[in-house]
Amino acid sequence: MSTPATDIELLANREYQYGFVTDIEADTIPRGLNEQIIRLISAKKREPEFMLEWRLRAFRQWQQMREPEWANVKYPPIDYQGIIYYAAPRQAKDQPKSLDEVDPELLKTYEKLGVPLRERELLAGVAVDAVFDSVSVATTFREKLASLGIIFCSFSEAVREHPDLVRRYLGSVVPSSDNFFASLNSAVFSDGSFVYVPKGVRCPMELSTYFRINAQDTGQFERTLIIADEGAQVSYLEGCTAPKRDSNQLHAAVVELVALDHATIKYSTVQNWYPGDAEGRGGIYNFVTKRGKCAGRGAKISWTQVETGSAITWKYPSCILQGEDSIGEFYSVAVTNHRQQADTGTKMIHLGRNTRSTIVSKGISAGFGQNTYRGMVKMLPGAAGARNYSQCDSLLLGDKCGAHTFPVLEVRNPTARVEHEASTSRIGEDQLFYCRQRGLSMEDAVSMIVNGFCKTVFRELPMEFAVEAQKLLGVSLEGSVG
Amino acid sequence: MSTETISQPARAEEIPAAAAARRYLERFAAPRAGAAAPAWLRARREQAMDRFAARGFPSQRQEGWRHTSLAPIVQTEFSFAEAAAPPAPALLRQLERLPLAGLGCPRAVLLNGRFAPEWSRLEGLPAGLRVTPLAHAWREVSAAEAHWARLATSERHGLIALNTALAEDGLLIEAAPDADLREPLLVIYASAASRPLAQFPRALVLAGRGARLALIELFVTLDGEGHFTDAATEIRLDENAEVDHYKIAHESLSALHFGAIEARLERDARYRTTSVLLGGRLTRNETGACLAGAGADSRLLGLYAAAGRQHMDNFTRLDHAHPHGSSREYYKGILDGESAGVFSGRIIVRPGAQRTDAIQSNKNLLLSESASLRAAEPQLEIYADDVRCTHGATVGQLDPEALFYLRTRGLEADAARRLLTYAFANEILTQIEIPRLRQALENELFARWTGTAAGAQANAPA
Repeated sequence: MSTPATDIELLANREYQYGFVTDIEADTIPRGLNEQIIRLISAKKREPEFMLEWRLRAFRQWQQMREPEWANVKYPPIDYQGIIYYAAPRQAKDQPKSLDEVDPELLKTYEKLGVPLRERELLAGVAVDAVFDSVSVATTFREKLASLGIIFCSFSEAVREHPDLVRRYLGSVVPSSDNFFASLNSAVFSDGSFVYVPKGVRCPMELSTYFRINAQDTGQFERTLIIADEGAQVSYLEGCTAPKRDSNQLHAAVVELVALDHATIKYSTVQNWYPGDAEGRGGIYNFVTKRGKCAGRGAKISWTQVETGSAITWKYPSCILQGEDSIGEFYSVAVTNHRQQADTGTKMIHLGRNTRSTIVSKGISAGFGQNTYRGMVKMLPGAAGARNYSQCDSLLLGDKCGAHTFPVLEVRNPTARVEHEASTSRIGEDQLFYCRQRGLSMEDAVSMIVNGFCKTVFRELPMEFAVEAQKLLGVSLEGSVG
Repeated sequence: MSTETISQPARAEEIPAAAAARRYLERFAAPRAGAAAPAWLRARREQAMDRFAARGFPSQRQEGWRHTSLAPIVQTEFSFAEAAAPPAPALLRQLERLPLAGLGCPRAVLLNGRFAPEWSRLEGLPAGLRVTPLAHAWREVSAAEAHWARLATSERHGLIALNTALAEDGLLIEAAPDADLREPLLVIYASAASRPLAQFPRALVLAGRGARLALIELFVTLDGEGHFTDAATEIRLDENAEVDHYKIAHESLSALHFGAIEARLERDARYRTTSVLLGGRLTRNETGACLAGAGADSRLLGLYAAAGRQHMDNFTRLDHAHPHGSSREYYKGILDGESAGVFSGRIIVRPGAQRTDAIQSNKNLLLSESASLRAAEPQLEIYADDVRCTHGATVGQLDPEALFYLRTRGLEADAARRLLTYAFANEILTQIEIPRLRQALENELFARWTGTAAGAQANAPA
């Protein structure tokens, strides 16, 4: 009988499943970053004047900023002049009108990733705005959504078709001067998704997008803007996988959510960028700014994330709870294995009366992984009767990894209540023994316990993501038991 | 254009407040009273002063200092205590009247940072306990050279560097191996001066193998307003030693207080420290314990009660460096008036510190509209896997249901509130193991919350 350890090693050394490069000619621009490049990006995307100005202002602000150093992550300095800031798949002159016009190579890529667009169209009823490198190549279910007045399109299209909405909300939650990476994104963002759900409309399906970094040495700078008007409801899913590369790639995205009176936005992420190999070579630097604003009364924004990939994750999906009785939620599972580093968490900023927030964060560290929860709960003087509950738990698998918790509570209103709990431990030997005694293999036992540990978060995910997330968790942690 | 070419101010974590720093540099350069310091001490002081000259005072841009501004310290021109201050009988009487000073145990008094033999009561110390003024110990006791300024090091930040460079005196407290010294020793740091004064008292405590020692440090103002206390206490616990340590900061409401406590625990040593912050306009209390041997056990307790415009910053660090260590940390804050509180508690579990068991809890009670908890920052940094670490932090107000219950029992609203506030604080007070001290503090706090005067007034020295 082979020891479980050997099997585990085999599994652990399994190649990254999604590491392949699609051979498509990419339309790229020279390396480096200066005003010329930004003008070029803007021109290539045929943007109106206000967009170019916005980009240039952000660029000038970025030049005055310093890369943040406070995060608990280590990486060699990034050469911002060595990056290609724009890459679009070279296609027939015009955007494809339907899936048939899409390059079959691209479709195959998604097939391998498990995003068969058509199948999803038919079976899952999910409209997918697939982002391949920087330009949206296919958007499905557009008509159905359009009949309800919902706008779901690529960001570049929104800039051209709905400039008023973009102008009004772009940067209203994450200003172009917000932080180093958000400013960089504001200056050079290539594309992304745009959603507008009009008053009182409940979006009938999960909106979904897949990001994918493909061309070598191209940074990916996504920009997503979701607006839920009064009483609207929308659930948005975002999934990421990236092919295998040796040099690190930078991903600096910005996501802005705006929820008006009694609107609800649910934003779910499964992030599985390439994490680098076992020695920490390669992998994605995922430096993302995500923030939602509950601008109206009774608005609700819920973030759910499963972070299993990326060499480095630097990400703090946050909520500004401005409207009275508004609600913010953050559910997170972050996994670090091998040499991965994650510094992730959330900020809940309570401005309005009776605002409520919940934070549930589960960190899992294995191998040499370093996992940090960094969160802030801020009760400002106006937040009378506000309430927060935070729980962050860490699970350690192995004695070379680390789990760190840095929460900050700031309370300026005496009627606000804040509770924070955190724990760090490893899988109990008695739990493992019990499972083994019932005939489960070591691997299955660990998998079951870890899944149980994450259950409160997985429960928040939409069905199809929950299944994927469990699978990803299993793959990410293979070989970490012992 | 790349970011590298943009000129930025040098990583300005600490901008030396030039003018303020100069005063301290001049003070350092001035000849000192008394016998010449040994070479090793001069070297350590110079190193500390260089450190201060280079880095200045910690600024709010520095991690760990974001919520506390040292501006009142930086901007005040303090004078320095001169040697041989004549002991005024009136001040001594005042000292004797302080409820906490009259605990009836042996006591050592430092006046303005210098040992005051006339005020101390060190006759008939129990066998195994030796108390030596540092000014003497630096020259005569070899342990001072080996251990002084080794735990609270200048590397931490400018305030400790300043203390190391400018400390004129202090105490060396030695507990012999296996000595049972549970009858407490009281150390009083008193301040009395007509002008705002800066003092730099320092204590080094060495608990030998298996020794058991109880120690109370009390900071008080006898006379004068707005003095600056920059204190450091280092405590070394040998194998299986046990130290029960209390720090009561009860200076005037205009005092500026910085205090660093650094403890190092060898195998199976047990260290308990309780910080009670009551006075001071600005207080920063740092407590650090390093579990440097297997099976060490450390307990950090804290109670901070602020009112008026007081600002109290608690900074704690528990460093688990060896296996089988355990630590408990309970801090409670009561914030009234326009006061502000800060709690920062860091627990580090180093690689190899397996079977560590650490629990931390911080609870805060906000009593008024304008009081604020600037920040509660529990931090767990864990590099070993077979551990159990938890922390919890809460901020809230008095439970309306508990208030209602007391009202139904016939208590007035005000009395009910005070009773609940006292009960909140009592959770820490009941853990004080010296009955006389516990009683004195209970009286003090009970008067504060049930007396007629506003809480802050009750606290002012007579």
